[in-house]
Amino acid sequence: MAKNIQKLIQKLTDNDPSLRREAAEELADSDERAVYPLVKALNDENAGVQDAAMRALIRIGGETTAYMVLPLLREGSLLRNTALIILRELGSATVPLLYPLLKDKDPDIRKFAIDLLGEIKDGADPSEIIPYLKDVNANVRAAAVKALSELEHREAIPELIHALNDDEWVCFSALEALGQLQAENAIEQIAGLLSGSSETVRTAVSEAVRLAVIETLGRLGTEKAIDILRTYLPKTTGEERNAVIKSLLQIGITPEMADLSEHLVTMLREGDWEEKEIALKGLVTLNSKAAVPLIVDIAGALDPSLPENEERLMILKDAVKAIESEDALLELLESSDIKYRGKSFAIEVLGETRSRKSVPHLVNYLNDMRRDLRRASTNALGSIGASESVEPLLEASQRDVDAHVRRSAIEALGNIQAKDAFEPLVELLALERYYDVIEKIVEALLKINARAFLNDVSRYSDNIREIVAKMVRDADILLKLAEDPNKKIKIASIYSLGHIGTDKALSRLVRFLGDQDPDIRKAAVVGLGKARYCSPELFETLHDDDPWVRFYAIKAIAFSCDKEEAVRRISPMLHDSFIPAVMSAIDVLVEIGGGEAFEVLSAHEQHHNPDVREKVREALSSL
Amino acid sequence: MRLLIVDDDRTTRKLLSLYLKGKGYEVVTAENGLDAMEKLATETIALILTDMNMPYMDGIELTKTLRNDPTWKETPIVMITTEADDEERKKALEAGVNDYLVKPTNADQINESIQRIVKNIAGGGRNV
Amino acid sequence: MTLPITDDVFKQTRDFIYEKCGIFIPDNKKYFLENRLSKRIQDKNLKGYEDYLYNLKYDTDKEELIKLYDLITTNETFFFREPQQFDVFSGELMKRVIDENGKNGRREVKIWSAASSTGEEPFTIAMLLLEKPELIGFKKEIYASDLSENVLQSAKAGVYGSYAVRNVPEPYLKKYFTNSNQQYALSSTVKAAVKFMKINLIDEKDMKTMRGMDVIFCRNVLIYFDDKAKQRAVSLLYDALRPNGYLFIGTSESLHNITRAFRPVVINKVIVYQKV
Repeated sequence: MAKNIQKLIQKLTDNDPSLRREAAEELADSDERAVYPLVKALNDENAGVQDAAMRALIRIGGETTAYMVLPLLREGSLLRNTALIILRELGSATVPLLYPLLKDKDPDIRKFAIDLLGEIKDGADPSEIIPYLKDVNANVRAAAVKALSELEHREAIPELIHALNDDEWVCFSALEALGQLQAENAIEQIAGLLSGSSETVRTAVSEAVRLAVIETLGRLGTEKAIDILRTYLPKTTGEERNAVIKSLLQIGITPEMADLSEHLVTMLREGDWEEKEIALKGLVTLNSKAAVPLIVDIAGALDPSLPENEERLMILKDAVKAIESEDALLELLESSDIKYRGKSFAIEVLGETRSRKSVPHLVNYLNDMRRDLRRASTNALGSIGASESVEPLLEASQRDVDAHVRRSAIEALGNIQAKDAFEPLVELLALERYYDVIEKIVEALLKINARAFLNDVSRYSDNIREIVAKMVRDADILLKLAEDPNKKIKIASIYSLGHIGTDKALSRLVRFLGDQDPDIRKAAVVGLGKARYCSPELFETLHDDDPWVRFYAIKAIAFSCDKEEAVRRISPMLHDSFIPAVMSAIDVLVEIGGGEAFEVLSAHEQHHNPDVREKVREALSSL
Repeated sequence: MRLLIVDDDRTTRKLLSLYLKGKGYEVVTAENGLDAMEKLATETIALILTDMNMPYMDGIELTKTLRNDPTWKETPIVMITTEADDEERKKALEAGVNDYLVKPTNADQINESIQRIVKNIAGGGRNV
Repeated sequence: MTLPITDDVFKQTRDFIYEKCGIFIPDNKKYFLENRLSKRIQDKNLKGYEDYLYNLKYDTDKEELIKLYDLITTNETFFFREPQQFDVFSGELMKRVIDENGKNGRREVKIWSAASSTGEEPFTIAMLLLEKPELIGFKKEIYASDLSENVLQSAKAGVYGSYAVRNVPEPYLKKYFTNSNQQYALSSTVKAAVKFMKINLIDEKDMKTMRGMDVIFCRNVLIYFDDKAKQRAVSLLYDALRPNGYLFIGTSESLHNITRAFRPVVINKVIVYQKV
């Protein structure tokens, strides 16, 4: 790479920005020699180059990089702010360089240093920051407060309490910090700000600070905090009142007031998500049925495919379940001004709460135009398990145009264990085209009457026999299917035999180790691994002619046998001619760990294959 | 009147929001200059209050970018920063901010600045 | 029934998923994994997550890995999803692209749907471009990629249920689909306009094959990545774009804490990221 670095550094000044970016990207894998040129490139006219240079410097890392980047804090705003990102990402390498900056005459430099110590955390010494709670500059003092809270330095709580009497910005940060640190012993001084009886001569406590005080008391949540909030509530109006209610609910206290329910519904409708959650808590306590339509409506507006909404939907669902909401939900199902996603949410809740009353409604929904609602209804009927839904579900399983709906109708029939569905499902088995639906039919039939269904397996098609082989855990049937002329079915049965792991199954698996067909031998090896059955026959397979059998044998042995045995058996495989087998041996040795594995691996540092050498090196360093 | 507060520090965003809501403004917040540009795309914003030092796009660059954009050329910008230096103030004014306040500041001071700018625009001028 | 996962196995599974597809599941999202995988594990008659992980790692068929990927990224996909973005794309943005390429003597457009799933997005793009008279005589290259081979196979078939086409404007539906028994089959003109390929967005080797794109769609994928993987993917997307090329991400996604190499450009309230 040595020569290459020079070339790349030169390329960093090329006229073409895409080449300059490429150079910066490649220099990420170089060393300290590239640091200075990359620092210069942070000021490139092209933002793509700046970005790549920044990331390259972070990748190179180390104290030299931090040292070279540090002076940029005194440059113009672009370089200053890029430097802040880099220094933060360099982490503990930056920390020792920050302490001298604390004494800088420029308050902004002092603030940067304190901010970084708080953000990096790793290796930062909070006691170095404490003196700056008395800095002449208020921004530096506020930064010190914040950093001490980020470093979770509870020893500084007395000083933070003192900061409540500082300038409003510092006081505000101190409230945040004391809340964060759960500083229960600060409650009295914090509450003091509400009455304006703070020690100092400050003229008035602003509304912003009072709101912060109320929030902080909510976070602290002790008996004393509750008392203070309760006493304060009647004295409040507007935003402050809102804040007190929120804080009390946050703690789990339902404040005594006449119009609370209305208040909470407004909070639920208009608040941000955090407020909505708080409002939900209160509405659940009040068992507010009036809030159900709004909750369902909010749920209906969330796109369920976004991961963050998944969590939100769960919270909304829990709230509706906790309220006696059955009637309200049934009413919503018949209402026309609710989004279809809201309806499917309501249906899910009715299903999960096993609402028998909802069955006729849900049966109606099996004919709805919208696929989601049909699917939700079939699922719900499956969990409710009412006998009157069997016929409509059967109908859906046979006639719905959507395979997903058919599938969930079949699943529902299985869950209900509907005896009447047995024959129709057997008939359906012959007609259905989609593999995943066939899978569901087999599963349902096994649930409804496994014995009747498995009575004569040979009459089913290959596809069905394969599914049976995958699903069934009955040794006799599996042993029969393991002799099936169709290889796919045979293999599926072998895996399943490994799964049940009974003596009979194991002895059959061992027999298959001697099969002509390497695929069968391979399946048997995997099966024995699954059963965690360590046996001499398994050791034999390490010498199999087929390299993939050897490959899987290594894994099976590592999984089944005790560590010592496994290391002893697998170590010779490092000499195997088949490279994947060698690689897999390295993998499992790393997983097994221990001194012996280390020793065995170190003997192979000079393996003739470069990939193996690389892997051994990696393995040794991870051990 | 809806304002956009741009600051990378959560505590500062919170304090400024409380100040301005207390003065009857609606408030939208952003974490840096790029975030601000995204918020401007979807929200109707009458005035921007921005910090100077922020990652990925700082307040100066945000101001310059907006001043070069026909849509936000005229949107008033107040910079609220810890940088008390005259040099920095000069750079900000050159970039095109309408006013420059040094932290720590307070609700009244910010409100006065906003009102001054609004009045000035109504009177046909731009800078304070 | 949701199966609980132990912290240890959660971490192993999480790391495995992250290594294979860049999707990072943070500690506080354990329930997310439980939600998505419980059913699969029960379906497969496995004892628990540990067995499932063993299956993933050591079983012969790679099918399960693809299933897993499908499970944790189940996106609602349908034609014309988020229509405002498509309006801007086929209107003002294409005008700009045609104009910019014209100045460089290029009579072509190159569009890439980088997480095409079952094909609804690239085929929407294809229909929109087929409808643009300004593009007659232009070479139109539309690429579509996904991590999952299964999903790509299904995309190539070009047959959809009524659900997927619910947003398709009537004239398009008539012109480009044949409907039989509630199955909508895409016309061969549209199918032939899109070239499918398997690409992992965080794999440098894969990504290097894509260069000089005018517009990339990469919607609702980055949400599954942690910041590091996001930075990596976005940086590779940057390299795949031509200078000043455009990137669409999901409307609930943002790049503002990821990179300064893109600038948000606003067209009719829609944000498009431009390579700078």
